[in-house]
Amino acid sequence: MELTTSATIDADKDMARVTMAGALNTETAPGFESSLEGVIAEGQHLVVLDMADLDYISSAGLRVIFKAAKQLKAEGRSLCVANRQAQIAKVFEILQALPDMRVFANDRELDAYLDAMQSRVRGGAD
Amino acid sequence: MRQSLAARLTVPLTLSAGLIIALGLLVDYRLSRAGIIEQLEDSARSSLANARSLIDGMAEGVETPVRVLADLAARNPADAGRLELALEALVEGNRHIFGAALAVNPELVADPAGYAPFVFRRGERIARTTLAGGPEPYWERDWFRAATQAGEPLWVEPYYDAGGGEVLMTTFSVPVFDATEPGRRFLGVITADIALAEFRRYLTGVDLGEHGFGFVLSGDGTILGAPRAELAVRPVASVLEPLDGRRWGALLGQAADGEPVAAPVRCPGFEADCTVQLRRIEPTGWFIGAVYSEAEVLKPLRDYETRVITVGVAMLVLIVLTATFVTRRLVAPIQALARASGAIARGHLGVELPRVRSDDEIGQLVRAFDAMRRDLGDYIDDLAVATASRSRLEGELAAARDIQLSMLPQRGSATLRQGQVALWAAVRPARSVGGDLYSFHLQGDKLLFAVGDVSDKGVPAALFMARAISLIQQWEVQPGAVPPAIALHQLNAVLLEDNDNCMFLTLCLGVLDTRTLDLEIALAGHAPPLCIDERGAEPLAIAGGPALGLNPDARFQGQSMRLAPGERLALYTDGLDEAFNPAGAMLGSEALAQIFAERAPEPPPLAGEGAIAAVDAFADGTPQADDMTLMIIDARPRGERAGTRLAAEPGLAAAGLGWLQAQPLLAVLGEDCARDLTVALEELLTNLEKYADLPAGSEAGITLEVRRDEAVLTLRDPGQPFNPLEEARRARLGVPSERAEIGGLGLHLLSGLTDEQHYSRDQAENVLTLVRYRDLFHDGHRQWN
Repeated sequence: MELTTSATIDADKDMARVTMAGALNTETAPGFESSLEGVIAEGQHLVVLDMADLDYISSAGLRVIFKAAKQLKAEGRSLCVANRQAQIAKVFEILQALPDMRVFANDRELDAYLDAMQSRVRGGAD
Repeated sequence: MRQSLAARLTVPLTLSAGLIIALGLLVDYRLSRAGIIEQLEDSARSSLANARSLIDGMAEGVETPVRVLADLAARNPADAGRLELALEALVEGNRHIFGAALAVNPELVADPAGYAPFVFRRGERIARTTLAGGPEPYWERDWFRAATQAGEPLWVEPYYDAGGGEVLMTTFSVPVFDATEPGRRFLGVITADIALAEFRRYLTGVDLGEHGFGFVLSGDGTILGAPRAELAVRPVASVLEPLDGRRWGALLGQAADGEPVAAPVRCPGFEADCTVQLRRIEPTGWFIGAVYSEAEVLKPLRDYETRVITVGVAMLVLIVLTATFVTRRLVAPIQALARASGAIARGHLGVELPRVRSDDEIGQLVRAFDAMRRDLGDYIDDLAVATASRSRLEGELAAARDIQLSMLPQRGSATLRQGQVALWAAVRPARSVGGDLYSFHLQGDKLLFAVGDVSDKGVPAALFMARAISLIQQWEVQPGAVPPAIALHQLNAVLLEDNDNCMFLTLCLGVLDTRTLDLEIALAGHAPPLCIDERGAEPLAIAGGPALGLNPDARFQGQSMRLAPGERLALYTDGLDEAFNPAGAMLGSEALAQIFAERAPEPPPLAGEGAIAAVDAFADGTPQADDMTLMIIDARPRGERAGTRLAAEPGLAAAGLGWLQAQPLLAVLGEDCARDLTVALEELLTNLEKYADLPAGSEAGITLEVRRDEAVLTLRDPGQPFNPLEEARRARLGVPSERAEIGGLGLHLLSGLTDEQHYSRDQAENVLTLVRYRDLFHDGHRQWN
């Protein structure tokens, strides 16, 4: 099982979106870890893991996500996940994964959050 | 605000007393009022009557001598000199008479001025003058003309006597006709005058209030006399104006007919409504009247009313004060007691109680209360001691429960997998500790198991149970354990020793060969296990012996049989089949068998939990009377199997996962079950590869067995003995990112995704068995270990 990822940077929204497809397991986790590190290094405030096409996740994958979340939080940034499939959500639930991590059920929720964040930033700049 | 006792006493007391006083005063007032009014009327009436009779007397005193004189003159027409003398005597002898005149018919006198001597009072003396020769001839004057025309005596209207007495007066005129010869020749007029000031004397005595007064009217309504001199000679109509529209003429006419007349008038000289009363005075044709304001006349009554009200209010105030005072005094101890009881209710037992010396009910109450408080204090102290010892006891019982549970394999709720055999057992004491027990032990392929029940419940049973289970576990671990029947015999012998309390134990002992499914089983006073398959649940037909610990001569028979794959044994204690419902009905072994039969398709833990839940549902809240113990032993039917052995080298995990995913059996399981098993295997293999340090050239084995209700994944590795379920690190879950652990997640995932996890060491290999129920039975991620 393979994992394919692609990252898009939205400088306007200060966000990096990583779309994941396939399986995040022991085998694919190290590759994902380095590509995610690359995305984090871009410096966007928000890193969104779009899991719409992620079918499988094991603890090795969760480990990478936990690590990234930890690093981002330490820098005052944040990691969130969106579009989890049922089985992925179940794994997150079993591991009571990160109560402070934002989870979006779909893109609409994510967009609403981003809009709210942006208007807050703009409001603060005025 | 809530009403105080004092208010509840004072208010009705005051109200009722006030009502009584008001009633009393009202009655007194009604009675007194009539009396006062009558008295006032009497006084007014009598003073008027008095005035009237005086005036009457005065008129009569004037009229009578004048008439006598006139009579004398009529009979002695020529004797004018003597008449003059008599005139003088008349004035002198009658103090009411101001003056008297003898006016001779001018036609009988030679002198054209006429002849009219007049005697009158001037100060203390009697003066003499003549009325003849005045500016107006005396025969033109009223007193002469009126009497002449009337031909009989009369009182003339009052007038100012100019040229005579020079005072206001009224005059009684008597015409004199010659009586000595026929023809009744008119001789003249004899008069007597009363100064109007005379009337005043009689009227000042009339008491009609501050402004009221009595008055005398002449026949045509001129005021002859009133206490105030300026009213004299004025027409009464100009002084008193009737308010009811009647005219004075009518009033006078009515009074002249002899009727007493009363009419409302405007009060003279002050703003009020007055009443005027009028009566004729016989025979003068005058009227005596009285004008008064009822309000003024009734002033004594008003004064009386004011006094009554003042006294009433004063009495009421006194009563309120007295009632309040008395009530306060009475209620004060009760109020203090109420406050004290409030304080006591809040736990302040030391609060001061009111001091009451009296021996009345309140005194008794306070003393009883004090005694109650003391008793309460003692009771609370006792209770504190009792509670402390009780909580100590509870603590000890909790510890005892812990210890007792720790005597049972897997602390009172256990699962086991060995070969084709699956076991599930649980105990639920009715109290903190109990007398039920279960135990099992694997000796190689042999599973030795026991389910027992000590007589009685609670601590005594628990102590006996502790002794029994240690003996049973000795049997279980003894290499080459004796058959169950002999073990029962030995246990009976040991438990008989020093069993003065005659405690006893019912027990089911068995040995199951997990490969061949050969079963040896023996009973001591215990219910035979149920044998359950798809067809139903039947108790095993076993001849049992008596309960252990009572009978030294007891004999026990073992029974050998072989379980068929797919058969299930259910060993239970009487807490299950002898459960009671609120109606007092007992569940019974047949109904229990039915419960098990219904759950035959479920995996052992689900069937066991479900059966206990069904018993609870039957009991429907009735407190559990007896300990419950249930052990389920399944001879699992042989499932479809696949297996492989993989070289212990890098890439083991990938190879293992690759193998699993290639298995057609996995596809049978359905997406969820297959994925969960894959993740679980990945976790195990990754750990193995990373940490196990397997010897080079060795192999790890993976098998997958699929049954109708479950999939069993077994991983065998030749590494050092290591039970990851117990010994591997587990991360703490549910913490925020900054404190989250990066590793230690795998085991959580393992136990979350599969339903049972078992570890055993077999033939120098670590054996990890993961059971994932088929999706029909997989309820979330329940764990049974």
